[in-house]
Amino acid sequence: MREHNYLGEFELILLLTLIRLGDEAYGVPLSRELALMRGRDVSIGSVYAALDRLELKGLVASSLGESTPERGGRAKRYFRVTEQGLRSVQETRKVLSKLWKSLPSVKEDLA
Amino acid sequence: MKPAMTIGLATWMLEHLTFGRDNESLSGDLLEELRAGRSAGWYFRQVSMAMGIGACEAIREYASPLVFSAGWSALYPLWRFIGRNRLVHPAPDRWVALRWPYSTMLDLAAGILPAVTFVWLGLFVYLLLLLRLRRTNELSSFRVLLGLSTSLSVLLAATIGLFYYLKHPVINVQYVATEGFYSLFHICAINIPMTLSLMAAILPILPRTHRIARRRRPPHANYEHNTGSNSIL
Repeated sequence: MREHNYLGEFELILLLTLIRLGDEAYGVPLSRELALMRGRDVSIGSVYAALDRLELKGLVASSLGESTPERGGRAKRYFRVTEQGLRSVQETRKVLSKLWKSLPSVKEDLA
Repeated sequence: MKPAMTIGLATWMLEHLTFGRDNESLSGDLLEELRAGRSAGWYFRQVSMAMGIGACEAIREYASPLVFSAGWSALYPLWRFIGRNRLVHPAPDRWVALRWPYSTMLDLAAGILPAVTFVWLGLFVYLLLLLRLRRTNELSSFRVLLGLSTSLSVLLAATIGLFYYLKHPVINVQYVATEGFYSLFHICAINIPMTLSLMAAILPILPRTHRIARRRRPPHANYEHNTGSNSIL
């Protein structure tokens, strides 16, 4: 039996934001984008904790980048979605789409 | 205290007092936001939350191996019962005839053999569970060997500590070979070296992400996913 790895809400939002940001995905733009999309401030620590969990599952990879004076000489940590992460996003989207399509009454209410 | 000093103190706490995490990048991000116009209050809130989250993550990371180690150690009397005719050889006469230190070494080895095999079996059971549940793919034979050797060292050290705890008049390795040493009578005390030993064996094989310093990003690196979201999905 094939093993599925469905994503939680925050995990899915994080992965989509990472894909959207591309090569420039590190803590600051990531948290700004998340705050913009969700309409409220996010804790950068919780973003890192979720990214660590995703990295543990093999859905995200990270690498250290350049350090700048405004960061006090500390390196940026860039994140990218792995192939496995992309597959997981696609699978979750399929399941969610199917579920939404199977709820006609909710669709009508929302309309 | 001046704001610059308190910010420096908060940054130091974030980087040094968060268990097992590499928070250099996180503190860099927070400083970048602070320089971009965020308030000191926002900075302290972020640092507090990051430290709280770090503590919760550490508890979650170490709780399951600790609970498993303690639970597995409680099964030791059963292991003694199962292996009573195979693993336990109280004072075999043929070893007494050997010269020192071989007689003592063999006596010691026979004494700790049931405990070591039990701890190592526990490690392999945990490893199987880890592979099954978390699908870790970064396990190396080096880390397994490190776990095995560390557990043996910890077991020996904790056993010597147990001699002191049980108030033996002298440290004599022959005590460890006596049948009653790893027995039900001492089970509560025995659980401590067993648990510590198994925990020491498990720690090197735990999956790691943020604790490992990663390679520096090469300049102008091209990542395979660097395309628009529509083309990916």
